[in-house]
Parts: sequence; C-alpha cells; structure tokens
Amino acid sequence: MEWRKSAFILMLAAFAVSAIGQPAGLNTAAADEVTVIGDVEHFRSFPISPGSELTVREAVLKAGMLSESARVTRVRFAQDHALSTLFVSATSSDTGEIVGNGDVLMVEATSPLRATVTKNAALRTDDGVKALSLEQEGIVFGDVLTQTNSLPLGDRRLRVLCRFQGQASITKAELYHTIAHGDVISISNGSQTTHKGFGSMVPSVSEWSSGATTKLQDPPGENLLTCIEDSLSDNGLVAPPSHSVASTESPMFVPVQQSTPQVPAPVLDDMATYDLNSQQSSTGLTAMLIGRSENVPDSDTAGRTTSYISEATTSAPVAPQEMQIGAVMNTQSSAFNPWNLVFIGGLLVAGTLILAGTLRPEPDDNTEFSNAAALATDLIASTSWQQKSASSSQPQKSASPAFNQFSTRESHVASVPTPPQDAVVSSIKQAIPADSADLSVETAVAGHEWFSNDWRERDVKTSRVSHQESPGEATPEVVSNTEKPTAAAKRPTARSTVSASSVIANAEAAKAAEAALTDAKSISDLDDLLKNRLPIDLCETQLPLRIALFGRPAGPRRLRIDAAHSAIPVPHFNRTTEKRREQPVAATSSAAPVARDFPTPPDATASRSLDRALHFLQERTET
Amino acid sequence: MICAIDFGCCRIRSMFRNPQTPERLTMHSERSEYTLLGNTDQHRAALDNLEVPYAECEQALVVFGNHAATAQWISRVPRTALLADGAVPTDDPPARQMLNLLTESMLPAKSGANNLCVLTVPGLRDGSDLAKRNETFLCRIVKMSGYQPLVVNAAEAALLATCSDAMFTGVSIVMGAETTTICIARYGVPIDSETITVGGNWIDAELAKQFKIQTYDDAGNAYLDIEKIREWKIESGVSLKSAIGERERMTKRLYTDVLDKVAATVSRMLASTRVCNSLSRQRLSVMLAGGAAMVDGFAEVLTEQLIQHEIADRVLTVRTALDPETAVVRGALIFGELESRAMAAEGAA
Repeated sequence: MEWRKSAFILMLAAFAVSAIGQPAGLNTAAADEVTVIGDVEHFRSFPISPGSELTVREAVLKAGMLSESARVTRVRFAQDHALSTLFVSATSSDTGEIVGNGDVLMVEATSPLRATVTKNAALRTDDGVKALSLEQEGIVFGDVLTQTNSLPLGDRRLRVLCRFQGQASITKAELYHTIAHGDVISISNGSQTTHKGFGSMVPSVSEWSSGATTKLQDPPGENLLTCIEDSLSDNGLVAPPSHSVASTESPMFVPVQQSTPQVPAPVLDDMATYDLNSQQSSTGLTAMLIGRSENVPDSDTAGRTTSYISEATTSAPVAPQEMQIGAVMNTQSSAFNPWNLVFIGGLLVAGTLILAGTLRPEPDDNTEFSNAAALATDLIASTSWQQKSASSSQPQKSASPAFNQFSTRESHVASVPTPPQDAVVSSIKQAIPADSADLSVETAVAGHEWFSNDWRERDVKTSRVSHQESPGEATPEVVSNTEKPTAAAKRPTARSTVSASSVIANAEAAKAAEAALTDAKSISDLDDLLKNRLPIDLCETQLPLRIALFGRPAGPRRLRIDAAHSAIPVPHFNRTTEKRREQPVAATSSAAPVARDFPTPPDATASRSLDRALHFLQERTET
Repeated sequence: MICAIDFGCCRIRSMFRNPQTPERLTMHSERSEYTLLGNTDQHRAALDNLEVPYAECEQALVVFGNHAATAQWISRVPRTALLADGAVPTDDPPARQMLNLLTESMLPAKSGANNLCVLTVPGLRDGSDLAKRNETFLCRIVKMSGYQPLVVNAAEAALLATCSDAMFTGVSIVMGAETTTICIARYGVPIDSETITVGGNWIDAELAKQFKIQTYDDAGNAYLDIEKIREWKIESGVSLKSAIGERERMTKRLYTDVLDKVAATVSRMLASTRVCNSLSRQRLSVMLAGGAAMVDGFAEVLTEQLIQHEIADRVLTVRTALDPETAVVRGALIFGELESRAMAAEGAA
C-alpha cells in the first residue's frame, strides 16, 4: 500500500504543478482574441485588449497586408458560416465592424502580393482557434488533426467553414482531403453518449491514429495517471495497468469521447508541434507548424487502398473504400480480451455465411452481400448477448440463405427478452416509413450499420431518429444495436421514442436538409461548370433576315495594290553590249530613287529618238 | 441572368445557362466575319432563294455570321474579319453595326435583377487608345442588350475553366486568331498577364504567302486565301510532332517561332517580382487553350521551347484543355457566376 500512497501523492503533486504552470493559452482561451489567416504576413491569433475594441480593418492591418487590397471574410466563433465579407485596403476607410472573441478573419488578396506568403489555415475547435502554418504541399486534414491532437474524431464533425473564392467547396470533409491555403476548418463537438462501430471497435478511419494518439486524448488527470503508472511500471514498481478501466470492465464499449477541453499532452517526437502556450507573446500567438505525413506520399490520388491501421500509425488517413473491410481493436488491453475470441468466432461464422451467400445460385441483386454482412453483424451481436444472457437462438431452417438470414435476425429479436438495443433498432424501423414495415431486402441491413457498404451515407438518413435526443445537433448520429446495454437501457421504449417532439425535430431536420440540399445543388452546379461536366447545347442564332446598314464596307484586304506610275518608263531597246553598259536605261527608269540620283536630262526625248534611229540603222546594216 | 460572350477574331461565342434547363449550357457560336457581295438584283435574289439573312449597305450586300460561309461561293472575294487585326474597325461602319447585331442576337433576353455579362475584348489591353476604344465599344453594345458588362482577360477565363484541379494556380496560355494571351494566376487571382500580337492568323497568312495560296476576284485583285490554309490544317490533320512535307515543316517552323516568343514571355513573367513574391519557386501547371492550340503537337513544341528558355523546372505540366475552343467563354461564364455570388454575398452582408 505504500507505493500506492506514494504514487497517489506524486500524482497529485504533478497535477497541481501542471495546473499552476499552465499558462493561459489557446486552449484555455482566457483572453479575447481574433485569428487572422490567409494572405497576410503574420497569420496568428491576436489578443483583444480588455475594454477595447478591434475592428476588422485594424486586425487585418495588424496582421500585415501583403497586397493593395484584400477581401476579408469573417467567421464568427459560434457560427458555422461566413458572417460577412468586406474589402480592405490600405487606403480604404474603416467600416467600424468590430471583431469578437474567437472570430476568424480570412484575408484573400485581390491584387498581386508584394511578398511571398506561407500557406496557412485555421482550425477551430471547442477549445479555440489555432492558426496553422502549412509549409509543405499536400497536407491533408488528417495531418492537421493528428498534430493538433484532435483524433479520433468520434462523433465530432469535421467541416470546412470557409475557403478561398473559386476553390471547390468541401461539403463533407474527410480526413484525406487536402487542406488548402486559407481554409477555416471546424471540429464541432457532438453528443458524447452516442457510440459508433461495433463492440470495442470503431471504424478504421477514426482509429488510424489510435494508440498513442488515443492516449493523448485522455483528460489531464487520467493522462497524468497513465504517465505515472507507465513510469512506475517501467521501474518495476507496479504491474502494467490496463489503459482504460471502462474497457476492462466492458470491452465491448467504445470509450466515450471526452467533452472537456483537451490540454495538449506531450506530443510525439516526430510531430513538429510547438507548444502554443509557451509561444504566446504580447503581439499574438504564433501559428502551429503542420507537416505532412511521410508515409502517405500522395494522399490526393484516388487509387489509394485501405489498410489495417496499427497502433503506431501516425500517417494521414486514407480514403474509405466502398466497403470498410474491418477494423482493429481500440486498445492494447483488449488484444487479449476473451471477447476477441467471440468476435473472431463471429467473423468466421460471418465469413461462412458470406461464402454461402456468394455461392447461392442466381443471386437477385447486389444486396445479397450486404444481407450477409448484416447477418454477420447480427450474429456477432447475438453471440455477445448469448454470452451475457445465456440464452440461445437457433436459426430456423429455410430453403433460401437470405430467408435464413432474416429468420435468424427475427429469431434473435424474439429470443432475447428485452435487449435495449433491439428496442432502438425497432424504433428506427418505425420511424423510417413504410419501406421498412415488412422484412424486405432493404430492411435486412439497417441503414445505421457500419458493416454495410454505405454506412457513411446512411448515417445521415438515420439522424432523424437520433435527433430526438439532441434536436439541435447537426451532427448525424448513428444508433447502433451494439451500444452499451446500460446506456441503451436508459432510453425510452420503441413506441415512446416516436413522439411529437421527434416529429417536430424531423420537420426541422427536413427543412435544414432541404436548405442544405439547395446550397449543395448550387455548389454542385458550379462544380459541374468548373469541371466541364455540363452538356453544351449549340443553338443557331436567329439573325435578322434583311436589314439596312449605313456606310460602305471596307471589304477584304487585297494582297497587293500597285501604285500608279508617276511617269511612263522608257522603252527597253535591244542595244549593243557596250552601249548598255554605258547607260543602264532600265534601271534608271523603273526605280524612282535611282531616277532621282540620275536626273533625266532635258533633251532626253531627243536622245532617245536618236538612239532608236541609230539602233534601227544598225540592225538594217547587220542584216 | 448571367451570360458570357467571347469576342474572338475568328468566332464570337456566347454561353449561358438556360433557366429552363440549368443543368445544361446553351451556346451560340458565329463567325466574326462577313462576305461582301455586289448590290445587284441577282445577288439579292440568290440570297432570298437561299433564305440567307443579309444586310444592305452602300453599294454592297453583306452576309455576316455563319451564313457568310454559305454565301461565299457567290462572291469569290474572301471573307472580311469583323475584328480585323484584333480591333474594332474604325474605317468600316457596317462591321461595327454587324458586331452589334450579332451581340444582340447571341445574348439571351435579360431576366431578373442581376443581369451580368462577362465579355472578353480582343487585341491588346495595354491601356492604349485603341484598347480603350475596343473595350468601350464592346461594353456599350453589351449594355445595349440590357446587361451589365464585365471584362475579363481571356487567359484568366481559360484558367478558371481548366485549372480547377490545380486550385486555379498556374499559367494559362490562350492562342487565338490574332493574339496570344498569357496569364499567371494564384488561386484564381491574376498576378501577371501579357498579350502578344501574334496568333493563328499570322501563321496561316505566312503559310499562304510562302506557298502563294491566293484567290482573285473578278477584277483580278489578289487576296491571300487563309481559309484554304485553315481547311488544309483541319483536313490533313497537321501534326507538329512529325511534320511530313514541306508545308507541314513550314507550319512547324512558324509555330516554333511563335511559341519561342511565348516561352520567352513566360520566362520573363516568372522572373518578375510580382510572380516571385506570390508563387516563389512553386511549380506551375501550364494550360493551353484557344483555336490555334488545337493543332497536334502544340504542347510538345511549347515544352521544347520552355526547356530552351530554362524554365522547365518551374513547370509541372503542360496540358491542352479538353475544350480549347470553348474554354474561354466557359471560363467567362464561371467568372460571372463567381462574381455574381460574391456580389450577392456582399449585398447580404
């Protein structure tokens, strides 16, 4: 017990020291500040002195404009869209627009830059706004989130609030999207009670930086405790503890995302992350340098592959394939968990059923695979429930494997007395219109199941059900039948979930979805135009059949117009060789300059007549 | 209504979204030239029989737009450019009136409050009197159609249409009939642009001169038959990569001369302070557009010239737009839509 006491005292002391030594920084957001990014010299957060006001123009000038004029887009802290856009130049008058705490000003030069600007962006989280320096090319959102310790996302939503004009907007930001200069990224925190994935797993996209990164997400006390325990473990004082008590007790549960502000924990060596708090100065906070993950050389290419992510993976995420093949365990301690054996067994059964489904003659359509996958999910779930409730559900025999799957699913629902997650599933079925009233092929795979092909898209569809818990939350939630039983048990029954409030929430969600759809359509139209995807109809122009025009047309340009000769050239006579040498008649007569050099004598006509006569005589003599 | 019109020296193109079918684009394309005919009853009767629209001028009949080619056989005189030498003619009043007629016919009827027409102005835009006259005249005839004119550089428009994958950063080169426009932009904002007064017509005219491809009217006047050169280039599929025959070799030589000048200009622009400040040593995509850039091997010849001018290390790719002829007008339409959105956002703010 002595070492436990010592450890506890040490922990308290270290925690107190860290709390005292924690300066007011971005994460604590003690003072008001505004962040200026884009085409400015100093992209960072600028503190707003208490009691004073700072206008947009002042803030931009403070950051240092690099162009004659610039377009400034202002994003308020509490809003998810640009509040206003105004033009600022060195000579323009101040409109007096006051910036508020947490505002982001995106400066976009509208005239050529005077100096080189470093690529930068802003990351807005619940903790505050961070200016990011993107000195390398091809940095993706995953790099930023990794190096700002914002992963895994969990139920938080990643969005791009604002981009430079003309850039393709990102309606649904993914971790593999390349971050562009001037992007304002937002990570909005969602509900903390909703879990995704199956059992202790989360979709691979969210866990590609598990392990060390997950450890960094722990709250300070727990983080500290872990560090102390690790150090003690290294010294041989204590046995290696499990990372998470919750995961030890109920390994099928996904660790709940912490809603408390995240304090930057000691970062990995390979992360070029500055301690923002120590960088604070009177003029503002320096930007955070973001580097590109080295083991993802070309994250923009479409032909990337999904791979299993190891604990040490710190690379940028990859694009999800059409189907997520699988995921790995979230914690190291669960690697030897007996539930893993259950899971592996379930996978084997699922694989068998998938094989059986594949071998089925004349498959109807492509939903067969999804059905098998759904069945596998259910089987895994039912297996885990069987372990808990010690009940069994025998699949009913049928001629069709698909029907067998449905029967298994139904028998599972029927056999387990009151499984809360099934109540939620049935509530989904009731909330979704008649298309899911009967056991059709579509219902075989619930839309919320990540195991199905397009679980991401279906998240949005199922959000209307999940909105009954948090109507104002825009983040789509996934209600899974693999949730923690205790949490699910607190939920109302299936009938009571479909209430008037949910209908109102559904209507609001429908309106919001409609507005979003309109915006998305507008953006999509422009995107189609940008990418030359719109077909072009070449129409005949209707010109007036007859019309009178004034003036005389110039007509086409002639190739050569000979000017009129000023004087008639002298005739060329066949003279003797000697005489031709003496007087170049042709040359003097054809070219005007030559004629000017050798002016024709006044008696030229007489001499020419004489020549003609003499020549005639000579010819006659020779003949 | 947002529309775009590209006043080219070979063709005038307009493009807009039809409000009934916004998922499709509507385009008009008319030759910017006219055919001159004698003002005789026979000519008038022939045009009436063919139902060809024509205009009656002083001592002549003129057929303009695409119908000019239809009536070419009656004339034997080569067609006359409406924008000869890349400028609105000052000594050809009917040509100015024809430009107005074509513009009116090619622009859609205005609708709504925000009627914006983005146009390109041919020729140099160096602030000279000629350039100002061109711009003023073309803006005025657009205004007469009920639109608010907005002038855009042809190369900038082409960049918007073709460089979305490069985040609208790079070098855009539009080789038109009379001029070649170069624009270097960063995130869609033009940093530097220049215009060279050499285009496809110069190459065609030189070819016609070298090989004495001429035509004669009834009075024996000779004219360069540039149209025949254009037809030959299209029909024979001239390739600059593997020039066969004397005429093709001459074509390649002429193209090389022009592109040498283009590469020299690009090199000078890249070395300028404005570009260095904005783009540092960033490697840029070079996007080619314009009718003259459609000849096979154009990009290769330009690449050779860029290498010779020692700026190959600044170039990421040299690509020809998928729609070289319509990229400018489509880019102008994009420019209009972006500008319209920006104006709407400013209005809302």
